[in-house]
Amino acid sequence: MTVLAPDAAVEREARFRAFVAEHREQAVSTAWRMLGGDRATAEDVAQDAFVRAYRALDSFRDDARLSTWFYRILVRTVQNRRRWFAIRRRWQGLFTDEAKTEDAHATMMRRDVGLQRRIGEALDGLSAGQREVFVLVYLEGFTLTEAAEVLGKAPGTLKSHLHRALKSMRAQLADLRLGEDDEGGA
Amino acid sequence: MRDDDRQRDDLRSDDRAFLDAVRDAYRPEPTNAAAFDRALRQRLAGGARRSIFAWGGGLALAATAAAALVIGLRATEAPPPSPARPDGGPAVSLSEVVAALDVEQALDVEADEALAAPDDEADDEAADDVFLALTVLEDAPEDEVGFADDTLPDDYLALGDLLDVTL
Repeated sequence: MTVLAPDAAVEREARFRAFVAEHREQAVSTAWRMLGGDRATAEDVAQDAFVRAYRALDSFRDDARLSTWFYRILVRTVQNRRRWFAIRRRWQGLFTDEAKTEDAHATMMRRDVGLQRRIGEALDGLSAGQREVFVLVYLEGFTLTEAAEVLGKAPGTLKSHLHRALKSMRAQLADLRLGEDDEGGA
Repeated sequence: MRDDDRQRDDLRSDDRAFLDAVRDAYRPEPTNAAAFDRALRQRLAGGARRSIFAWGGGLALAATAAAALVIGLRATEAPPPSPARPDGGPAVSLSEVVAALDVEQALDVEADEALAAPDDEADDEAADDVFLALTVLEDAPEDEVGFADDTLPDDYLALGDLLDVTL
């Protein structure tokens, strides 16, 4: 175990606090959108990723690299959570997702329930690869290069995913006429 | 911005309007920063609660391990006839993985094929099976499966890396 000098420890804590402050909102938002509106799990995932980032802080002098690594951790943790949810659904009778469902429901009740549910269902209908890059690039504002680094995939692959994801989302939500003269919008 | 980053700029205006509407409608409530940071500090201090999910995962492990054992025992009595399920499901089933004498070979051959293009439902389910089988076989906390000393494989679905970690 490495023991830091007091000044170094203070500096490390300050750096971590700044990192959390900068990425807290986007980390939760990214996880929330990838998890289908599950607030509690999204915050849990974000905290897991921050804990890992804290442990890895000394390995990254460059905060940009730490940030990329952090979102890779976040996305992988989301993947694992989604995988467990899928496994639980397949093993019906053994497990329930009541807490998750209630939390997602409570969150949506405070907003436009129907619209959010429809968007969540449409996102859920995408493949994992499509959903992840759609959320990162189109909803969270990552560049294609950043998303490629986070997801560990080639930009060309992500472009293909984005194209298909957008086409699928537009088809699934066509009846809402989103973006057309504010009809069906938030 | 690099040329290959100009994803939104390259879109038609109606696509951009659609995406703007989706983004505005589908966003979480703002995070309670103080509560979030408080919980994070508790975790870092080591006195944190186990996450809700971890408890759920623990229960899931216990139950699935028992179920997998039953399936595995059945499978030893009557070996699975085919990699493909009659219902057209994933090529790799839990029972096949658990019952396989040479788990690594089964995963190498069948899972790699199933996961080569993990973008349809069957492949996702195959990935679920492999993930679960690895977890059950190793009796490891789910959070540790797929992560070795916080070093991530380049391919987030690289089962080879998972195998190296767990088998």
